[in-house]
Amino acid sequence: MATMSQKAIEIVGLSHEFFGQAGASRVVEDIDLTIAPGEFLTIVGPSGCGKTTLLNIIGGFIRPTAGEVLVGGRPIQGPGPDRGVILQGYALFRWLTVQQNAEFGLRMQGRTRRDRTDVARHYLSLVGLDEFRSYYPYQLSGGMKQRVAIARALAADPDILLMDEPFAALDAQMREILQEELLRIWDKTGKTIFFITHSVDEAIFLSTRVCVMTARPGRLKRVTEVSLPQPRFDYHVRTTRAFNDLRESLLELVREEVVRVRAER
Amino acid sequence: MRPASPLQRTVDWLERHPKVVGTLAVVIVIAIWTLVTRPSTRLRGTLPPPHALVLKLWTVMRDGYGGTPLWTHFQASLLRTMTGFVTGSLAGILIGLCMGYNRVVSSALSPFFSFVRPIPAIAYIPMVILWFGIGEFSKVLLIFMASFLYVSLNTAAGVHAVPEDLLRVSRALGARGWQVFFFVILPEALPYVMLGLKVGLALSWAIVVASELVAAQSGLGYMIMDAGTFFRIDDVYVGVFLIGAVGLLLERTLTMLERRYVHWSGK
Repeated sequence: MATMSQKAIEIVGLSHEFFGQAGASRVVEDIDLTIAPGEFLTIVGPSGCGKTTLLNIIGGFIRPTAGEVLVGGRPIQGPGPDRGVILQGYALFRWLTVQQNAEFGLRMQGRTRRDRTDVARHYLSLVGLDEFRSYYPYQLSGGMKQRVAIARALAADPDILLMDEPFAALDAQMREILQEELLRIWDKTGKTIFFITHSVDEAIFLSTRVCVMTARPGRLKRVTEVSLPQPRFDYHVRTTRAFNDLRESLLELVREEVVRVRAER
Repeated sequence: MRPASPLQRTVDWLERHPKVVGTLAVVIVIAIWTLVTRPSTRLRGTLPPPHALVLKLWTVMRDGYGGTPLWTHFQASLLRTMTGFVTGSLAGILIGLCMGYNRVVSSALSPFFSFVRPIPAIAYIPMVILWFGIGEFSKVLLIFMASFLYVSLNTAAGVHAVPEDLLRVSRALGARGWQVFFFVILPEALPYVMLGLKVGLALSWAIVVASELVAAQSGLGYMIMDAGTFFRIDDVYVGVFLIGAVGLLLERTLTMLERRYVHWSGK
């Protein structure tokens, strides 16, 4: 296909400043990064390093002050259904059932009712929510809500998933289960995933590449390939030597930045 | 720990049965009321006993008041309320949505709203009579103003409160401008709109009675004013009771609608 170049996302000379009452403040600086189709890339960094800003720029929600982002070879023109978004707070539609939530993207794109029902069902069963289709979000646990959000994003069939600390609000066990599920889904669908987290463990377990960002203004400090075996659905990976070595070196990089933020305050 | 005392157990039981407590309280109040309005007491002249009011309520319902059937008075008050409330609410929702959606509209209107909000609608009665006379339009206009104010402010607050994340997610799912508005902003703001409608309706009912006290030939407000003027004490009480009953009914109706259509709110 023509659009399937070797670059799903291309970030070129990207910087962004917020203009507040105290004047301009630089949030991210000089970011150059290319993400290949089907890659699972994770960004790790201290709080306030501009991770979320970066995601918002790729999502097309914020216009950067310098540089640009190309998706499928074209500069982005605002948000679009080619980039699905999954956020920490789920952002489900409270007045819609699980099924209707999953159908939302297809409905906006004007697909027929039958089409919508089938596609949404498919993705809801992929995340294990068959029996909860008629539930409302308030009747679900946090883990189930995030599953709905994942199914909803997938049903709109984006090439790219942008995930902003999606499992941060869940308890430790649920987080690990959803991480494994996400890997399974990634394996099955071949989506390109741009994932933000503050957990080094999560980054290593999930991704093919981990980017560590510096404290504000956020720059890319280190980009590391994760050469653990794939597929990685098995939680035993988490306790291997290779995992721990990588964890050690990445933790050190992140800690340096956290300490720097502390010292500056 | 020692077992609970009988007193403690009674208190616990009462805490678990709010309906029993409520009914009991009403019964006690009626009993005291009956006691203090015995024929021998001095209160008899200004406060009729409960059974006399029940009887009176029955006669008024059967024969009407002032030669007009009770239903006509009901109808007059309800029609005024509903005309003002429905038009005021529709206008309120419309303006509220504009205010919530567009910062400039909101900034332009907010000084007026801030100033007008603390003024009770009843304070406009002389002004409105001066401009539009004592006809139906004046009464409906007062109700329109009150419900418009509350519904528009609540709607605007509801639109403002729509989380940014929700808007972003819906745009990333392919929703365009008007789709975001109809399928996300509108439903998300609905609980606030409902709250505005509830306050607006309660206020509308209060205002219709007040405006009928001043100038009217029909309606429940007119009925109690007229009864008071001619010292028909029983009728005054019956009228007040009916106003309360209708107000309660209106409120319950909206609460029912709320449970039906915004059941997900606050959960």
